[in-house]
Amino acid sequence: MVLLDGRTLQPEDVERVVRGELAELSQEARQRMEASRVWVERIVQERRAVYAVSTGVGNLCTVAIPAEDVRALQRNIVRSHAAGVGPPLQEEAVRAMLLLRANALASGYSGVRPVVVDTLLQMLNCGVHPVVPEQGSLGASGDLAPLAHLALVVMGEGEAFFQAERLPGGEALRRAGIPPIVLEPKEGIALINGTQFMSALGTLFLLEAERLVTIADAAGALTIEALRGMDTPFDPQLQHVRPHPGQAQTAEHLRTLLSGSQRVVREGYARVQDAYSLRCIPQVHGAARDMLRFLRGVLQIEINSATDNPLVFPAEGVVLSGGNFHGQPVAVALDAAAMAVASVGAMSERRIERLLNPHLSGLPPFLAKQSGLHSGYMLAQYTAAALVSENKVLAHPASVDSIPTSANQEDFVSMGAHAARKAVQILRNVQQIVGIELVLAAQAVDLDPQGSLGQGTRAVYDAVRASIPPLEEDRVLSCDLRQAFELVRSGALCRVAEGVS
Amino acid sequence: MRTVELTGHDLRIEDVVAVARGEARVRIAPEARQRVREGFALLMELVERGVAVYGITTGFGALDRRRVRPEDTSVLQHNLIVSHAAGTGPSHATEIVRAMMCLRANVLAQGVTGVREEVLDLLVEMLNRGVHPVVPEQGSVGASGDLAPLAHMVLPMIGLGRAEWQGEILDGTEALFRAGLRPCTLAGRDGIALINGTEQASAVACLVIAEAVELARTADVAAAMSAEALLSLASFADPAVHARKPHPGQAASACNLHRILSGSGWAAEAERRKLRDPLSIRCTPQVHGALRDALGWAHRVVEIEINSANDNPLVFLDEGRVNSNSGNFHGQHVGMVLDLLSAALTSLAVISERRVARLVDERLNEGLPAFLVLPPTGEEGMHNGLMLAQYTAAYLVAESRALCTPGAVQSIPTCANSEDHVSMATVSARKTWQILHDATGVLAIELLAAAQALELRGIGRCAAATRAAWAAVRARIPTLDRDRVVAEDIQGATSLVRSRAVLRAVEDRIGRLA
Repeated sequence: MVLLDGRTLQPEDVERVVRGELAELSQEARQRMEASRVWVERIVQERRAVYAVSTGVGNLCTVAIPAEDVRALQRNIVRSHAAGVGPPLQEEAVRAMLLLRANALASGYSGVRPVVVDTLLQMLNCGVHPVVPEQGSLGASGDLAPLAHLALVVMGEGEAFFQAERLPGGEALRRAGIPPIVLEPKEGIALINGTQFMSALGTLFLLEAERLVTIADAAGALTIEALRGMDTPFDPQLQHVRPHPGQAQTAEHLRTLLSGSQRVVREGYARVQDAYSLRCIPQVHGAARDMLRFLRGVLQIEINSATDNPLVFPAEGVVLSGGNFHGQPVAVALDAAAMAVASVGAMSERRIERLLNPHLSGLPPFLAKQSGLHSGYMLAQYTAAALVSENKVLAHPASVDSIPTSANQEDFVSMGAHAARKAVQILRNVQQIVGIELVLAAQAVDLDPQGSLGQGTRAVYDAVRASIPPLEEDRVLSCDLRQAFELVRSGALCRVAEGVS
Repeated sequence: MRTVELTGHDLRIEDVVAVARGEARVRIAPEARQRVREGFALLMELVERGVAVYGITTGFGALDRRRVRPEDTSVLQHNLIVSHAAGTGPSHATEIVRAMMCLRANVLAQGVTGVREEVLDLLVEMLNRGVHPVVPEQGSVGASGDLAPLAHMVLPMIGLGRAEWQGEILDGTEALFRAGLRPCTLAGRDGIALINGTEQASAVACLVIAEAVELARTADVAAAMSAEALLSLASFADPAVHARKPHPGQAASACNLHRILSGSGWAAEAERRKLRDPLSIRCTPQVHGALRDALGWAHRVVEIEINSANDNPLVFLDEGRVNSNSGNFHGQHVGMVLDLLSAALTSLAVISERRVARLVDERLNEGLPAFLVLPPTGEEGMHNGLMLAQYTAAYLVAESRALCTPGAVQSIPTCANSEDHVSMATVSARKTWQILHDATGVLAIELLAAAQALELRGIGRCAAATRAAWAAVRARIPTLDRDRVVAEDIQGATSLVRSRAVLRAVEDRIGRLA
């Protein structure tokens, strides 16, 4: 059970809830929410001018809303902001969005009734997953369109998946036994004014990317074994004099993976230096680790923030309009992290090339047992190259773009939603590339079995071979590739790779 | 249903699109059939004479110095297909798979690839009977050809892989069986002849071009509606102006706009009020025209490509010889025109989104209500109208812009450096496909906003053509008089763009647009 207080949610909690753990609102947060709700109700009674409570939204903020219409306003905001297009967002990301929006409201600065959060969490706990189109958010003022599609279901409208069926939102709620909500003043805007689309995708990206880098270390180490590379570049002394933390961590991981290996060679034994794609793994994977650490810090703050506007501060007795919905911090960090992950993939592809190219490996061409008649893994590198190339296009930053919206009232936006979507695509591509490297490295070891592997690389080799048999003759490669992708994506291999670190 | 006859030399993009959409069958022309038979015979004769032929008597790629015994040829071709089926990612839409099959059959029909007639017939029959191999989108580097996707196309032909038949995804053999076909055993150079070409990127290019040509015409209609709704002058489309800058696409777009706006009472009204309009209106012919000219160029390049011998080696019947050292499988041409179309389609979306932004902004839209909704009395500020529709358009533009990073400059060496410059045309194809869909969404939003704006302005003084366009929109999407779920309206407008219903309504009124 994950208890939401709006302040202490961790990325790991998000993943646990996405995978089915229950979530509830903490007692303390409930009390804070009730206190700030009192303020909103007072404002409504006193008919004070507060954005989106007693005025229109966006560039309509100068229009006063009569008292009898303040509820209709909230409903209109949700309906008119549900302008998303494109394919429906994957279930795991929708679940993360539900949780993160609930947590943002639980911080107690939005002035909504606790029942709003309870409803979001009931939907989450019962598996009512709104249909959220992936495209349409500019990442300021918040991920409006995707969150509005989520809020439609809270009101008993829109569409939702329930038990694998796509249903009208009201019907999905009814089947799950959850009463829809008639939104009170402020509650419509409070449901949609935030960064939860990009943060949800970003959080899931972060956790998978962290595991991916660990697995990429293991793939790199197995390639070093296969090519009888050196372990001296990972010597602690070298890292000590250039103390980027990710670099040191990677080098240490590689040393542990390779420890006990009879295949790695000392400097000067066969050659003086290895190629960069072997020698510089600590520098490249390390840079990715540090960038992901930065992203983690940003997300830890973001997912425990009040990303709404306006915000209610009951202790100080004020309601303030600001811009906490603006996704720039997340957008910039996601762009940078996506580039870092793309680099891990690009380096892995170069090791794939070294494994396959007989001039560089000294192994049979394309790791085929009878090359010529068999093409072996020739095409696996083509696939990796295509994915690296696609990543180069996708790595173009999203956060430097901005298109003015809402009649120039919202004249600088973050494009964080796009940053998140393409970061996930880059992640998937690199998971596939690293999977290919693992398969090839295992095959290369099989073709040149002399000398035992290190403790860590042995375990990694065994895990690969448990799902993908050696290539004896040509077969449909995409089946091997899909297995390798699943092995990397599921994180199973991460536990093996970590087991030794 | 009409039949497209494949000769290998005169296939048009329009034919490919008809076949892709299941609106035409294909047949190999008799003279082509004869050439295919002769090509295979010549190839076998050369092999028997002891001539080394890449991919028959040798391994593939950097394995080309390894000799393969003649009795192993069939295994070699089989191995080629399975080992090259290394694709990953989501599966292509059926229409793209069908276009790929049609294009490869056309290449083989030239008789220069040495494929056997029965293999070509199987490919054609699969197409005609609707057996559609499952082809993963990712994995081709665009040289030496779209190897992985084409290998997946071939898998069902040899009883492997998977294929869609009448809506069901089946094992390859089962799909063939249900369609009354049987898998074949590859021989000679059947395997390499089936996969050594640019047909994945070219298939996408054909469908993009066909869609984009229509989109460019719909864009003229939408722009004319926006212009009228924004009380713009019609003089920006003055033929005299465009005669002085004779890019053909610009002239065509200007001519369309001139015709669509002819008789507009609102344009006449504008003449009493102003001298100039902003560039998102005034420069519509220049920007839409640049897309049209890019499409014209792409059309030319792609039609050469799809009627080319995209293979290596090639057999030359007249001269009785074979050339193993050629590179017609390289997709640089298609990759570069797809990158060009990416930029041109994105520019179309950029200018359309700016018109949408003007339409919804009460400070710029010449007196129309904010966000194009006229709320009932007493509900001022309560309705947000099309506020968010512009956000969605802005998102689509931003995404397209980021995708405009070119694919065709991204070469990564493959095959132990024997294939050390590749085209990455598939990267260009995949992103151009996405950009096409994004641009379609933006245009749909402009149609939605412009129809609403025209109604608020007053349909009575509209030009006959824009009135027809407005009516076509309203036949599907009711007037927005209070807030409702905007996504449904955008979806409706998108299907109006795709079905060309609005375009047809205008053309019914004023005749075919350029």
